[in-house]
Amino acid sequence: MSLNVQSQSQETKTILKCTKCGYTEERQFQPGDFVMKIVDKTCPKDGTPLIIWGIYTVKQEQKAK
Amino acid sequence: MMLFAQADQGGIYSLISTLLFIAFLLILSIPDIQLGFQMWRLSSIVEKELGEIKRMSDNARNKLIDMLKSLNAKDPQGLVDTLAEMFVIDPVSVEPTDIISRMRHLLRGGESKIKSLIKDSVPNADPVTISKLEVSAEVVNALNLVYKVVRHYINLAKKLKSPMLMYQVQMVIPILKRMAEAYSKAQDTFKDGKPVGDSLGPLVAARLMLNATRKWEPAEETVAAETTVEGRKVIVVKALGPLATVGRPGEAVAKIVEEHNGQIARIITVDAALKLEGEQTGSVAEGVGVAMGDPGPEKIAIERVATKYGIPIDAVIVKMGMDEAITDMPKEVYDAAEKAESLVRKIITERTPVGSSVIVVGVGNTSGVGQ
Repeated sequence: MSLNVQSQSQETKTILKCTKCGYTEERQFQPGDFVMKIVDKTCPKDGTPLIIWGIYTVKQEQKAK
Repeated sequence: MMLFAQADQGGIYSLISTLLFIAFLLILSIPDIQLGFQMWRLSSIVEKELGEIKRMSDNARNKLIDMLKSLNAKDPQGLVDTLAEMFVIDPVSVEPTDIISRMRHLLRGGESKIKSLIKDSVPNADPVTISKLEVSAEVVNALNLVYKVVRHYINLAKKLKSPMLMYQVQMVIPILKRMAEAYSKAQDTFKDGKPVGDSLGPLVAARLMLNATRKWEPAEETVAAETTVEGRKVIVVKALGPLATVGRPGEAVAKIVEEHNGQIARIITVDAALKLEGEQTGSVAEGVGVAMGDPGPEKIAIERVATKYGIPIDAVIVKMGMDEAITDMPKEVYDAAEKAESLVRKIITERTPVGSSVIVVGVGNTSGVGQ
C-alpha cells in the first residue's frame, strides 16, 4: 500500500543585479535583504557594487510516497 | 427438532430487527428529531473549522507576543489584547457631505493610535520594526475578528435552533478559513521583511527611481523622486521603503500636482489587483482610473486633483490571488514587474509630449522594497 502525501515547500530567492552592465546573480534570501539595497559584493565584469533587484518565493510541490 | 427451533428463533430475531428499523425510521421522521440531528451534524462540521480559525488566531497572537518580548516591550500580553480588540467606527453615511475628510480623519486616528501604543511599549525600536509590529497587529486584529464573527453566528444558530443559519455559516466558512490562512501566512512574510505580492507597485516605482536626480517626502511615509524618460520629466511616488507601509500616495500626488499648477500630462497608477478564478497570476492589464485598493481618502485625492486640471489617469494592474497579494511575492508577480515597467514607459513615450511632466504612482505595501 502506498501513501501519497502532497506538501508544499518554499524557497525565497534574492536577485542581485549590476545596474551598469545588467549582470545578475541569484542567492538565498538573507534576513535584512530588501530591494534596492546595495550589497557587499561587486560585479565580476566591471566592479560596480551590486544591488538587490528583486526578492521572490518559489513554491515547490513535493510528493512523498 | 433443534433445526426447527433455530429457524423459529431466526424468524423472531428478523421480525424484531425489522420492527426496530421501522421504529428508528419513524423516530427519525419526527420533525424535532430531524432538526436536532441536522443541527448536530452541521455544528460538528463548522465547529471543527472554527477550531482551526481559533488555532490560527492564537498562533498570530503568540507570534506578536514573542516579537514584543524579544524587544523587551512593556506588558506584551496586555498590549496584544488591546490591539486585537481595536476598532474604528465608520463615519456617518446618511449625511454624505465631507464624508471623505471624516473618513480620512478617523482612519488616520486609528493608525496613529496603534502606532503610539506600540511606540510606548517599545520606545527604542526603529521605524522598520515598528511598521512590522503594526502589520502584525493588523493580522492579529483581523484573525480575532474572523474568529469572533464565526463563533457568534454558530452560537446564535444553536440558541435559535436554526439549521438555516447554520447552513449559511457552513457555506461561508471555507472562504473565511482561506482568508484566515492567508492572514496567518502574511504575518511571517511581514515579520521577515520580505516583499509581498502587493509590493508590485512599489517595486516598479523603485526601479523607475533608480537614476533619480532628487528625492523628497511629499507626505508621511511617502517618497517621491524626479527622473527623466525620453525627454519627459517623470515624478515617481511610492510608500517609504522598506517599511511595511502603504504611505499616503493620494495626498502626495495632490500636493505635487498643485505645486506644478496642474501642468501634468498624465498620472499613471500601478497596483496589484485581485484576479478572478481562472485568470493567470502575473498577467498585466491596462485601464483607466486610479488603481488603488484604498477605502477612499487616498484614491479620491488623486481623482479630485486629476478632474480639477483635466489630467488623464491610467491604471496598470498585475493580477494575483488574495493570498498571493499579502504573502511572499511569487515568481510570476516578480516577472510581471518588468512587463508592467515596460508598459508604463510605453504609455509615457506614446501618450505624452516631449518636455511634459508625468506622475507615476507605485501603489501598495512597500514591505521589503526600498528606493
